[in-house]
Amino acid sequence: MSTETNAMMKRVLSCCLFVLCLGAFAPAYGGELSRYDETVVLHSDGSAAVRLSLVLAGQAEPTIRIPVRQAALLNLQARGIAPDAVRQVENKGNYFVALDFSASGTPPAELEISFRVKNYFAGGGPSAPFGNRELGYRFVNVTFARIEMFSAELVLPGGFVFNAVSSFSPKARKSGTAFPYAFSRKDGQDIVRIAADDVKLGDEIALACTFKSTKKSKLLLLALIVLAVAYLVFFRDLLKSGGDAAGTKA
Amino acid sequence: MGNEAGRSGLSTAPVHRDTAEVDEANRKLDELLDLDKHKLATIPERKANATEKWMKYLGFPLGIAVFLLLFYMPTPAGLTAAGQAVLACFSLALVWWICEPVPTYLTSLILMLALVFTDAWDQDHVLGVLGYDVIWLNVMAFVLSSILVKTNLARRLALNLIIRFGHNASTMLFAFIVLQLCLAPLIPATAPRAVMTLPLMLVVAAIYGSTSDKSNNFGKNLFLQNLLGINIFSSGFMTGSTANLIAISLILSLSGEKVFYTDWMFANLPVVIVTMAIAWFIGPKLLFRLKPEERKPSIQGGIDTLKRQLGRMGKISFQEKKAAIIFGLVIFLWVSDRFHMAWFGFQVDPVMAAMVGAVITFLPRIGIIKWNEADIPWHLMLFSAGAYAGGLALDNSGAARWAIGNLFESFHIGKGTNFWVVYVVIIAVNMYAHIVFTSKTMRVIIMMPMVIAVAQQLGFPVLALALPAAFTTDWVVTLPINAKPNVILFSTGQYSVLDNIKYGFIVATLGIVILTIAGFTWFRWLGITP
Repeated sequence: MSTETNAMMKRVLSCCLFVLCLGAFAPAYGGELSRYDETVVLHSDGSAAVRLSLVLAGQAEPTIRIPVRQAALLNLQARGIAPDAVRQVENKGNYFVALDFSASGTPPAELEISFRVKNYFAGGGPSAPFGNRELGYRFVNVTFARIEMFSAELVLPGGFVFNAVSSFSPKARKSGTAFPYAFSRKDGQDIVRIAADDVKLGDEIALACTFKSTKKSKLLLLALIVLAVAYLVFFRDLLKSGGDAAGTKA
Repeated sequence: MGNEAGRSGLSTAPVHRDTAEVDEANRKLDELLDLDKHKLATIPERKANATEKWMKYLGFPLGIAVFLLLFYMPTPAGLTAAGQAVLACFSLALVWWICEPVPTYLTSLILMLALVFTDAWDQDHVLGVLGYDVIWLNVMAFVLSSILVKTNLARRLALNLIIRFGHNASTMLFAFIVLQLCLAPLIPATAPRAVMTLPLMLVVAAIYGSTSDKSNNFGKNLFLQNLLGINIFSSGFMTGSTANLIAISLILSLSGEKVFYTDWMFANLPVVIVTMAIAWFIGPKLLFRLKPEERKPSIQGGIDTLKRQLGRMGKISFQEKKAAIIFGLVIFLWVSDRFHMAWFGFQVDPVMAAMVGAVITFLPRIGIIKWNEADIPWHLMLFSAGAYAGGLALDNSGAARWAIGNLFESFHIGKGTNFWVVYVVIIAVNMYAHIVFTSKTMRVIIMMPMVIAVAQQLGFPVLALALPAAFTTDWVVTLPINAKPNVILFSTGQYSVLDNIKYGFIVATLGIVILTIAGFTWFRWLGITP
């Protein structure tokens, strides 16, 4: 292998590592997933409870590795698989949830993993202007496993509302659904759901957004009421015959 | 020409009186057609009538009340905080544009501030709107319009048009509608059509006594009918706009149904012609009734004076020829857009084509005018920028999608709903959706999959609902910000936002009625509807 090729490989590997570090999760799985659903319930302290549901299809490898972006997962639990078959592993600075089916023989058709993470977003207070907090979600499929239906939901803590989406992927297409994300509300909590079909190797599903408190400035409310009343008082002359056409003057 | 009466052998006194009258008529016509005196860049002062005074007085607090209500209510499910803020800011601006407690350009500036201060849209995007193609096209349009006015070519063309068709206002208005119908299949982009015909409109309106500083109902009818014609005739042809083509490709990709050029034209051209014929009728007869003095050119001596004026202009001058060549070059670039890649190796966008014309216009020795002679209404560019920022923010924040989605859901369409109920709802929602969208393309991308999904879920033929819905794409007629031609024509100051809403909304509603009747009859005969 030439030096140039080596350098290129290093760059590619660096990019992959970067993706793994930033990405939320990506299953290292040789077969096929018919569903991958993820729910991230955020708490106001910045932590999050993550629930991951997988529906497997096709022939599975003895071990499934799901890259995660944090070193420490709290209260890691699994359903549909023996508890000791789920563990967190580290490989050259990358972290995974490893699902080991070698003991049980065949993997289950459906399984669910849940855990908590600290510092999913900056919980201390607003991290952006206008009281906004930044929130990002990113999923990159780094394996050959094709995911038929993918969805991820970010659930905000009560008292917060999504403000704006700054970027998203896949981009709006001129055929089919224009936007891959939608907002909704359940039990007083705002939810954004991003979904995609047929997620193949290298496909990215990402959403960067901001959210903020539902509280609004009372000062602005008061100021505008005063302004409206003041206008009615000081511009009474508009109604007089021959009165100036107020603001229409150049 | 002015002394013809004197040569006819009449007695001296009447000859003098006739000559004096003719000279006076000519002087008045010259004054009327001297558009330098009615510069668009200068904001006219208008005296408000009693209703307008009340609107100004109450409009200000009303706008604030609407803003406070929408901004401080709990954010509705499915809408973002930014979307809610945009809706509040845009509603405030809409109330103020209609009631005009402050000038329209000032409302736009306030809207821009409000969008930034309420975190509805970020500053970079809001300020960046001034660099959008619609604003540039507006500037270029007024530069090109200035050369036609300055060289008197616009006056010559308008006089010819009026002498031929302008014996009364109705035929004059009708001539413009026919002109727009002829241009629609030739020039697919709507904005260039507005730019092309704008100088003629300005001169014709002036001859009928309507200028930016003293507009009358003829001016309102003329400009608004052209606005309707430019937009609505686009929907008569599949190539009338890019959005039509996207609608067709969406229908093909999502349902496998192919629509051909002639399918579209045979189905919808009669619909738009009937609509425009009714719009031509109701404008001067019902909405903006023409006073007797507005029904004829407001020139002493009428058409004869105009004929004399045309005669006095003599042969076409060198400057006029230059203006014609420059304008012709721009039109040629607009018309030949599909060949640009083959000819030049790059595409000349309509804005760039207009800019080519503007560059030549200002070239020393070769050009026609200097910068100071270009009549560009900058206050209306600011109006356009602010208004466009509001519209784009509605699109960007998802507020427009949210509003339309909710409107659609509110009809509770489901299994067992009668086809014609679904048909009317879909046509109506698609038609009125233009009020909250500034982009036809965005509207089609959002609405068309929705319509196709409804048809498929309910088991109706996709084409029966999707094609008539696609026919409404170009009906962007209610607000000055709904489309580029609207912005350009509003910049002339010949009509108010309220006038635009009045005429546009009525014609859009009329369109729903006509498309529904067509669905029962014409489309059924063509095999589109069941």
